[in-house]
This record gives sequence, structure tokens and C-alpha cells, in this order.
Amino acid sequence: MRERTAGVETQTRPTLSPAQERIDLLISRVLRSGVLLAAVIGLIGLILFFVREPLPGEPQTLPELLHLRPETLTTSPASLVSGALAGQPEDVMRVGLLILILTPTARVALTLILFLLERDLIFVAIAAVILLILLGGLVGLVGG
Amino acid sequence: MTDIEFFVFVLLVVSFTAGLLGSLIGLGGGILIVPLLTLVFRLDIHLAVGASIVSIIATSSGAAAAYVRDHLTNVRAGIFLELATSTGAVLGALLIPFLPGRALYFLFAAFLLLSLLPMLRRLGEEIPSGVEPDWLARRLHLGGAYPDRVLGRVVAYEVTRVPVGFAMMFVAGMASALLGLGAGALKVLAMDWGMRMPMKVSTATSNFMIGVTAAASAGIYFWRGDVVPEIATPVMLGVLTGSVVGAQLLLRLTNRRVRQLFIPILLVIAVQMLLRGIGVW
Repeated sequence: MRERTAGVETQTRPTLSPAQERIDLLISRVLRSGVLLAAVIGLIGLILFFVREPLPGEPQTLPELLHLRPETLTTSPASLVSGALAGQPEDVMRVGLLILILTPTARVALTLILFLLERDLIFVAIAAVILLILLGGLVGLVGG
Repeated sequence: MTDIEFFVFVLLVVSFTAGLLGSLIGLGGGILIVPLLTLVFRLDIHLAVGASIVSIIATSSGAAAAYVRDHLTNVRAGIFLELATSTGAVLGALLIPFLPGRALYFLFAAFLLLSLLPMLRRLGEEIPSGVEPDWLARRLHLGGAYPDRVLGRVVAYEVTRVPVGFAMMFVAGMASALLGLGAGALKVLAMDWGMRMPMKVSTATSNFMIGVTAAASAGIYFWRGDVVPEIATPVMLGVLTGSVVGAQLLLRLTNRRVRQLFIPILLVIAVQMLLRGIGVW
């Protein structure tokens, strides 16, 4: 499959190895379902937002929202979970956004497992470093 | 309907339009979202970046899923280069609180103008020939093969100048975090011009990497409170649906014509962002 000079292989029909086919399909499914789930939860949050009143501590009026300063609307995992379970629109929307951020992270974890199965140790290490970088930001270790 | 609810509804509609136009131009919706939120709605640029970066994960993952399914993506090269983009993105996310809004406006305008250059003239080759893999590409087995529908065969290719591509990817990662973009144009440039990969593979692999790059900074912005749910959610849903519709439309339009149509619009946006940077507008 791999040759020194590129673009010279001649085959009548595009074919790839069955293992490659399966891996590509799996990655594709993880990405698609993650985005879909995030979009559905985001939509539910948005509908709740139109039905319910804004929470105390969240912007109440449009000028308040538009003049928001950076690093003021911080949230914590505990308040996020309790708010989402209570059906608070802002927290439901946050869960949707968090799932979206977790989607590429899940893809990296998946590729890590696949490289592990292939015993490709260099790529296991590379994927592990990327996963640590992503999780570092996600658990608030970096730059919180 | 309160004023804030009306605003969220308007944001949903304009984000849909931005996603639609973004996918038609081929630059993604992100390049339009930050100017929209800052220039039209006068939102703080740090919060605009937070909302935009999340929407980019949605659109790029959707496109990446399709490209991976069609086996156009070089997964190994993508993951290796994600080392560079994600560290660049984390560095950008750590730097951004110390950068004043005006500096970000300047950077955005400069980056927008640079992204326009490849649109005027195609830099890489469709399928480069005579590529000798360098040491890293051989060691990491970065070469690959993809099924080319137009040619009707599997095209094998090699990868070279990996350090050049790696360095460019680091810059792309930082730009992504600082400006709330996918920096797709720079990523494609790093692969097709830098590492001499085929154009289709570069585009597909760039999309594959954008999600991870964006997630590296988005995770930090999320807990920092810079991903405002009332803004980020309608933007994400609007851009996502807009880009899906745009991709359908694109099948019936000639790409090049559409792209050139938008160059003046993007130039106007760049000038306006520049003026905001100077503090005139």
C-alpha cells in the first residue's frame, strides 16, 4: 500500500483494507453522534430558555447580556449538575456545550485504544499526550 | 417575548446565515461569527471567541465524520500534528486574558487577510509527484493512500518536511484559540504546501484536526465562564444547521465562482475589524 513515489498506483476500483474501513466508520460514528447529542440537548435548553425565567445570577436583560465582561459567568461542576437536573435552561445548555467539547476528546480516546490494539506504541504515546492536554483544560487544571 | 429572548432568536437566524455562507466560501462559519458578535452586537471579543470556538467543534466534527467515512483523512498525520495544534491552542487560551480586545481585533484582521490569499491563487498541487519522505515521515509511517473518486483509483502518497508542517500547525493552534476560528486555511496550507500532501487529503485532515484544536481551548474557556450559554447555544445550533444546508447547496454550485463572490465581503469585514483595533469605529 505504501510506496516511495506517490500517485503511481493503478487500480480500477478504490479499495482499502477491511480493518481501515472499520476504524474509519467507528471514528465517523463517534463524531456524528456526539454532535447530534449536543445539538439535541442544546435545543432542549433553548426551548426551556424561552419557556422559563432566567436564573438569578444569569443575565436578566439584553444590555446586561451584551455588556457582560469576560471571566464573570464562571460555573462549577456541582452547580452545573444540580442546575441541569432541575431543568434550569442555562445549565441544560451548558451540558450540551460540554458534550460538544467532549466529542473530539472522545475521538482521541478512541484512537488511543485503536493504536493500543495495533501495538503502535509511538502513536499510543502521542494520543495519550493529546488526551492529557484536552483533559487538563476540561477538568480545570489549566488556566481556570 | 422579552428583549433577551428576541435577541437569542435573532442570533439563531443570523448564525444560520453565517453557517450557510461560511460553508459556501469554504472558510467555515467561525470567520463570520466573531465579526458578527463584536461589530454588530458589540459583544466583548473574548466572549465572542468563546461562543465561536464551540460552534466550530460542531461544524468541523460533522464534516470530519463524512471525510473519515470516505477514507480521505490521514488519521496518523492528523493525530501527530494535533500535538502541535493542541499545545498552541492551550498557550493561546492562557495568553488571551492578558491581551486587550484591540490587539485581538488587529490579529483577527491580519489573519482574515492572510486566509484570503490561498483563495486568489491555489498554492499546493492537486496530487504532488516525486515526494521523498523525510526521516520523521518514514519513522512515523505518515504516508498513506486515499480513494480518489474522480480518478477512480486509490492514490498512494508520501509526506515530507514534517517539521515545517508541525511549526505551522503550532501557529494555527494558537490562532484558533485567540481568534475563535478553526484556522482551516492555515492547516491546509501546512499540509499541502508545507508537507506536500494531496489537496483532498489536506482538506479532510484539516477538518479532522479542527475539532481537537478547538476543544483544547474551549475546555478552558468553558470553566472560565467565557462560553456564555445564552449566546453559544443559538450560535452553535444556527451555524450547524446553516453549514448542513450550505453543503447541500454547494453540490449544485461551482465552488470557485462562489468563493470569489465573497472576497469583497471578507475584505470589508477585515477593514472594519482593523478600524476597531485602532479604536476608530
